[in-house]
Amino acid sequence: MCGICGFVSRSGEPDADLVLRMMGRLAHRGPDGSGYYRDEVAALGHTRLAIIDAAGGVQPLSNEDGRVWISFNGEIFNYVELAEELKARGHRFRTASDTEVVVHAWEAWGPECFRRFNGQWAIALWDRGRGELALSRDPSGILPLYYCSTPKRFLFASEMKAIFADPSVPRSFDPAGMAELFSFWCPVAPRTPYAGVQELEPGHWAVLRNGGLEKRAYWQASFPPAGEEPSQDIVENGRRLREKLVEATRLRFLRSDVPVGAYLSGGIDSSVTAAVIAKYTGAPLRTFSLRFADAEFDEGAYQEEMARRLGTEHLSVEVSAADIAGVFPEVVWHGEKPILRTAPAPLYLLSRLVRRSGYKVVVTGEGSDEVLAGYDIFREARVRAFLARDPGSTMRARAAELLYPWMLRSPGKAPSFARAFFGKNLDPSDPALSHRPRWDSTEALRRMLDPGFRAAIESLRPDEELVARMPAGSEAWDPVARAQWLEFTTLLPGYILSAQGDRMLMGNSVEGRFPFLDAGVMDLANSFPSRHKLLGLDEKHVLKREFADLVPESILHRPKQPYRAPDASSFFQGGRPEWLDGLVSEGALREAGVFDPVPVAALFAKCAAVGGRGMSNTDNMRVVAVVSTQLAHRHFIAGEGSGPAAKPAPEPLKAFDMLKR
Amino acid sequence: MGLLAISCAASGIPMRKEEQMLMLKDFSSSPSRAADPELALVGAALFVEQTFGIELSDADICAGNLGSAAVLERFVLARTGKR
Repeated sequence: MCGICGFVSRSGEPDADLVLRMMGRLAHRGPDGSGYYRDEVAALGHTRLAIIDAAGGVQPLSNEDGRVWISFNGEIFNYVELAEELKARGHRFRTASDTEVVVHAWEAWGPECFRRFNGQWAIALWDRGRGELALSRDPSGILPLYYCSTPKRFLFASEMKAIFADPSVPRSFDPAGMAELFSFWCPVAPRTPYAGVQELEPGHWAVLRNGGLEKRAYWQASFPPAGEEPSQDIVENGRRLREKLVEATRLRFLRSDVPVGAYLSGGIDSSVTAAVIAKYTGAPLRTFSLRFADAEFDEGAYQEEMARRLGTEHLSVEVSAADIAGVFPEVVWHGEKPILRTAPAPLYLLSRLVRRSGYKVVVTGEGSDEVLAGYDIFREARVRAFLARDPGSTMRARAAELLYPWMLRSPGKAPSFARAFFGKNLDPSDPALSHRPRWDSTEALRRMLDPGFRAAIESLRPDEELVARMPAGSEAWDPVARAQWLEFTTLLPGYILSAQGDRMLMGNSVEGRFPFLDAGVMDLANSFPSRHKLLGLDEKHVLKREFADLVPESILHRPKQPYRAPDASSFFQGGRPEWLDGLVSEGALREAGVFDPVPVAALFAKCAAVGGRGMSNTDNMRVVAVVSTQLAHRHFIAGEGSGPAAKPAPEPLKAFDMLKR
Repeated sequence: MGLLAISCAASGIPMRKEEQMLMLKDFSSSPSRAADPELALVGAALFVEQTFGIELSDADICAGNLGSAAVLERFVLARTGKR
């Protein structure tokens, strides 16, 4: 993966210094070199993490006649096959890179090319002849792409900090984006937390033409009406899933000119991907795991069991609460958005281990929980649908207790609370029935907001807006499919793949590859009856069924443990970090204008009294939200003084400057 | 391949007998069943309703209908067979 950036000027020649500054902000995404292209109207920048065709893949890169230029971040895993097809159509290639395949594919097929790509990408294509800029992003939103339109120029970049390298871009929180964050855990593209900066939606492409941006979807998660799924046969569906997943994993492991490692979390998903690599490639494999000093969060025993079984060279990093606090400012710098959990921080430390071990690509099991209904929210949805059929039934009410037998502070340990929590707002016709408890919990943050900020968002109803975006015909989908669509649209691209995915990987210049998010795997799984994914309350049932030969019983059928990390305790256990008091002081809070200093002071005093231990889920969320919002304000709105020092564009720097010829 | 097709009320489409039996077998062999007997019955009720579209009353949620793999199979076959 790499960093891309650039702009189309609306007045005067493009400023080369600006594109170089933007590239410097993306140095971590591409430390192996950089390049820029500039003509009378546009500038494209690129920082490179060299993975395929290290010698020939320098960017920006053009087609044969220099009319179309590209800045590309990502991988097209079927580039070899596409190159053959394009050569047969007369296209001439100068390199062996997948980047050049994208340029020729765009020429040959136009926007239809995005349906042909099997991969993960953020692309900018500048057609010098037509004066048009095309942008595209992969189906599930693995790679980020932001844009901003000002009177002077239209800017785009892999990360918002590169857009903020333009001093003419205004900097403030966007109440609508923050309202989404305080409902869904993240803004939903095109919104971001920052006014005027937008994100291209996953599965979309856009063209800037005559100064206006036109957007189109080329892929979106879709499901057949319940009962009309093309195959009702779990044996056949399992066989096809295995075939697709093996091929997706093989491609992601083998299509690289540098060694590829794999994450092992101790759960079924990464166990499956690592086991598939071991079985179907026969290549030696290095695996990487995250350990926690706190046993409540640690999955080390399962990780080691799987590593032993596969015979991998296994490395792990143990993370303490203090480690999380130590890197948290960097985590928000890379993630760019306020977050409600510290969970991204340990993943940042894990990717650091990967990089220091000499690796820059890892295959992970991310995406399986969305694609195969693995998250607790799908089980909660099942229970809520069951309760909704007869809300007065005392027998049914006990179903809430089935959800969380494993969790120490589980609602399931307190049955009356569980029944009340999951039994609220049981309207069977509500398309978002599955997500109401989560959204209601997150909205507890609103009670701590600064009165002015609360007034700015109180009339906004992000939940209603999101529900209105659900596709026509979705009312006929199975309730689990509707819940999956909500996850595909909100948390997957906005948090899992972003704050917890791409940013934590690329912060250490590591590329993640995600077989479960192969478009073919997603489309296939979306066609299954929901019972194949969630049988009763048994999540990812078809996956467990089909890969029982590769994953030990102890991992296959262990109670699901969602990935979590210490939250409030990270900042209070064993002494708070020296930067915390200033960050959440009354003055700093008033300057940011998001949270009310009075309840924040009370919350932090409560936390300090108990060392952050034993706090409720809501209070944990509030602490992390306040700290990360203040850091985001300090990094991106007040200035960049607390972030890493601005870097130059990585060397070697290649310039294709049409104005200097 | 079995020819017997059983209507699934939740979906209004036929579910082959083999598929139905596989679902029952998979559920019964799942290690995630609750240890508390009443809670296990509730879990079985949830499975039966959402997999086969059989609507249950509180009186249906009892060991005689859902308490073991054998009675569960008989119950599901009887209720789907009636439609």
